[in-house]
Amino acid sequence: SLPSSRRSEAKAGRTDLIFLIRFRHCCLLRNQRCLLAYLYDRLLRIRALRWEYGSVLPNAIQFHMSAEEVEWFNRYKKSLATYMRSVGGEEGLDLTQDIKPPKSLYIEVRCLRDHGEFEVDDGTTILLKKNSQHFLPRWKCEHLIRQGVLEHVLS
Amino acid sequence: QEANLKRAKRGDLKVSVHHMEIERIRFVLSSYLRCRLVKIEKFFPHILEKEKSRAEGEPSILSPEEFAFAKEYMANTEAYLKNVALKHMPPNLQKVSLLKSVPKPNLDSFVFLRVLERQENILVEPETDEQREYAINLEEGSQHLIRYRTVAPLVASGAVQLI
Repeated sequence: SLPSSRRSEAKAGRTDLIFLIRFRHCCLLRNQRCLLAYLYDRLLRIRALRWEYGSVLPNAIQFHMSAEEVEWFNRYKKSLATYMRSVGGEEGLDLTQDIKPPKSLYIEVRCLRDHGEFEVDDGTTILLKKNSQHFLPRWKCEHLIRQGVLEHVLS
Repeated sequence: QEANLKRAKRGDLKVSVHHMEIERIRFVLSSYLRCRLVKIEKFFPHILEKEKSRAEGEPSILSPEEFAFAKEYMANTEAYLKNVALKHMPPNLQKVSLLKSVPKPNLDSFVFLRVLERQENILVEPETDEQREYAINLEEGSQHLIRYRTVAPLVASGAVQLI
């Protein structure tokens, strides 16, 4: 430790510096906070992609993501898949489906490609030809809508 | 013939209604679980901290699978921020407390509730400096708008129901 005379000298010098040091530290902390907020906001948007788009990201979007962001996305979707599998019985429950409450029993659908014959409840068969439109029970069509065979027509 | 048709139609309707019910249940269940996941992701450091400081006999607020999901989310996010930003910063800025940075849930927000079991002498905190704290009784079946913090233990015990 310094002798008392030296100490008071050093203190006098340092008082000027203390404010500068504090100011610089505040700036650095602010920069850190802004940076982390920006990065985390990007992560939140990437997370939203999993829910709104699906588990496979198109190349156009991946082009704008850093390698670490892609890795974060892969870890997130794996974690989510593990959780969804653990819910509701053997196959699990896909929580990214059924986003809106089911409104009607029957829905208007348009056929996007030839799918062949399709049996309806009362035994009659419908021919699913490209561009044909039908009025079918919702629950029977859902998996075909997801596969892209049928398209829900909202008038 | 007509009887057959009637039977077939009735069966069809039952089946349709049954399916509608399944869809509705699936939606309600999915929506509920989604809501929980959203909350876990939004408040993850605080939820994990609460779980860490949970007493032995106290029930967890998370299912084991939710707990695993929360831990994975935290580890994933922490590792990302460390590798992309923090490790490139000056040494004294390389750690950040997510507990301090991530906003806490606002336990003072007002909630609507319905009383299931009569409660006596619930202490209500004053809103202004002129007021003093006072006690109220919650009658069974009554509905109130009150700060969550005041009734938090009653929600946990099931004595009141949030609406």
